[in-house]
Amino acid sequence: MKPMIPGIPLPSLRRTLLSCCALILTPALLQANEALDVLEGKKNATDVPLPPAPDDGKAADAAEEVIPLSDEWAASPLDPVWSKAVLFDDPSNPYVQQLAISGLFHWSGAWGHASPEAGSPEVDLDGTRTRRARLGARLRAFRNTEIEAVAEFAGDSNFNGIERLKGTTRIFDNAYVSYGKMKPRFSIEYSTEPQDLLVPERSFLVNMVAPASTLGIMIGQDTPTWDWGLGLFSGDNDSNIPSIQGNGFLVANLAYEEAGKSSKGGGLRTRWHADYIYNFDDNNNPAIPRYDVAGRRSANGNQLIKNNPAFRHLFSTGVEIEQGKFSFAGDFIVASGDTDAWGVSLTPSYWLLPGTLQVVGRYHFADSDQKGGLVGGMGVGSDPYFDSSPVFVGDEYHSFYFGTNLHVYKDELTITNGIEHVLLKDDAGSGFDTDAWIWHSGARLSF
Amino acid sequence: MKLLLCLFLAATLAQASAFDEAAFGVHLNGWHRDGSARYSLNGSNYRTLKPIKTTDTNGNTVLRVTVLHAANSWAEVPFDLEVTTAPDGTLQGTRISGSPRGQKLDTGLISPPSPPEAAAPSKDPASAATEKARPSDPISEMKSALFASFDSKIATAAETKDTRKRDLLARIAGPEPIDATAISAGLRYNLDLLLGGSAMPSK
Repeated sequence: MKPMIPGIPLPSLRRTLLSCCALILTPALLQANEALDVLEGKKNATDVPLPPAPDDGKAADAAEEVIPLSDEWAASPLDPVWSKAVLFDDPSNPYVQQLAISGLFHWSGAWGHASPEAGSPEVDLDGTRTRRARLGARLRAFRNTEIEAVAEFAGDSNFNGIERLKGTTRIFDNAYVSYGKMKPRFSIEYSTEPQDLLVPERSFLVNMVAPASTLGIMIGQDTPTWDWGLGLFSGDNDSNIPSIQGNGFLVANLAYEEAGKSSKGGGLRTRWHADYIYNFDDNNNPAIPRYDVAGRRSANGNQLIKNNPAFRHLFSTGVEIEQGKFSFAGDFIVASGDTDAWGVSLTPSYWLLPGTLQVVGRYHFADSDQKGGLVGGMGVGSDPYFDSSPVFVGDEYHSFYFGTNLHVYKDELTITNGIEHVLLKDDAGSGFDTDAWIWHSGARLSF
Repeated sequence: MKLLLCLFLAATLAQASAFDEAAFGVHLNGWHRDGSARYSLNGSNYRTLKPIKTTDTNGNTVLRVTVLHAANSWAEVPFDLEVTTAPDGTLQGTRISGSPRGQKLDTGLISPPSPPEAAAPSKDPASAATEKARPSDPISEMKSALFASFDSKIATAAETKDTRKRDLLARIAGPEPIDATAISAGLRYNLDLLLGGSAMPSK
């Protein structure tokens, strides 16, 4: 017989292989043999040496390396002050369980300038705004109903007024019906309350396509994993109490949430969502979009905006992930109708000091096949619905934001600072392409 | 003996099932409009939130009160105290849960020991002496077991790393102190009231 490996005779190779296997298997085989001997009565169990137990101390140390970040906040010296916002709280009362006042003060500042290409003057973006000044009340009654009323005092006359007047009644365990003036749920950023936003302002495309807070009714269900909602809203857009106008629009929400453990043993929370809005009134709905820029001229190149953007279908889908100190939100939005636009937002964040200092990044991209199809603002005037700050038009938009959020008191008193670089392109040519560097500072106080 | 124990348990539990919230509040200096009662015990300040009565999946009634110990001028350490009774009024057990410094603490439901089986009279005098020395109050035994479990768990929780989010002011002020003795005393006081004891706290 020839050796399998040239130069090494077969008996020698076999011996080597057998020796290796024996070395690897010896402890396990010995234990298995001794166990058999004990079972067969050849040996006494007490005479068999047991392998050393794993070092519990080391195992515990290893487990402690991954400490999941809790959602719970540690007690803070301002707790007694903030607790004054709850005027009455008695879960055992059959009629009124809680009465509380709520508020949000959001100051925002931006410094920078937008530079259109040759031919157009630079646009000064320096400015500060009281971006939101809200005061309201929340009432929980009859063990199943919550009523929220919030007044807005900031912004132009078409912005300030009654921000929401909404009731939610729980039916059975997890089903609900909401009614009144409220913000339809659409996309991650628009569904997030402003005091909880990680970035100074919602992204360009969200502000461009989001529907107004208006009169509507929604039914839905919140289960531990699946959430859904279906609603019908009026086509009226009134900063106080809207009326029932036109055919309105339909809202459908679906979300799936799961909480598990990551491969490192920490907590992992994931939430997928899909939101759809069908606008029955097409280009004759003041609630979609919320603003009217028809007839105005763009700050980049003085282009005339002949028609206000109009959308029949709005769709958003995305995911939010939280794992320990890290979180991520990714959202895709598409809007179609007389105007077509789509875009994505990617927002990672990381707690440098959990509960105190968070770094946040956001990349936002928006695109349209139509020349000048994208309309929006920059700096403190990035929401065209808020005031009559300069508007910019284009067909391709990139924004890179990086900043930090300092939490002085939980999520209720925060200071934000960050820098944003914006690139806005326009196929219309004539030097309308614009880029901007903007420094953002802001403070939010809410209760 | 067995009959006496059963009667004692049933009497205690009938008291718990027919719970008088107003009387409970009187022993805590009365309810405020925020749904809590404020009181002091041996120099420590506490709040107790109004009890909430629910029914579990087995049809048992669960009476839960939240007891908050004022750790300092701005921080309170809350714990939930539960008393579970069967539909017939029999005490099923008591439980304490909370999350001091973000650490989950749960004693689990501690039940009163079941009455000893009636045994044939023993001729052994030593055995008879042991029988006589055994504590005859199952409620006391249950409370002892509950607080033994609680005391060991809170000591561990207080030493474990705080995983809660801490804002800037909380970092400057430092974590709230966990006074296990005072917390235990407050919970004992509330449990005694729920199970039918009475004492008046200082204002």
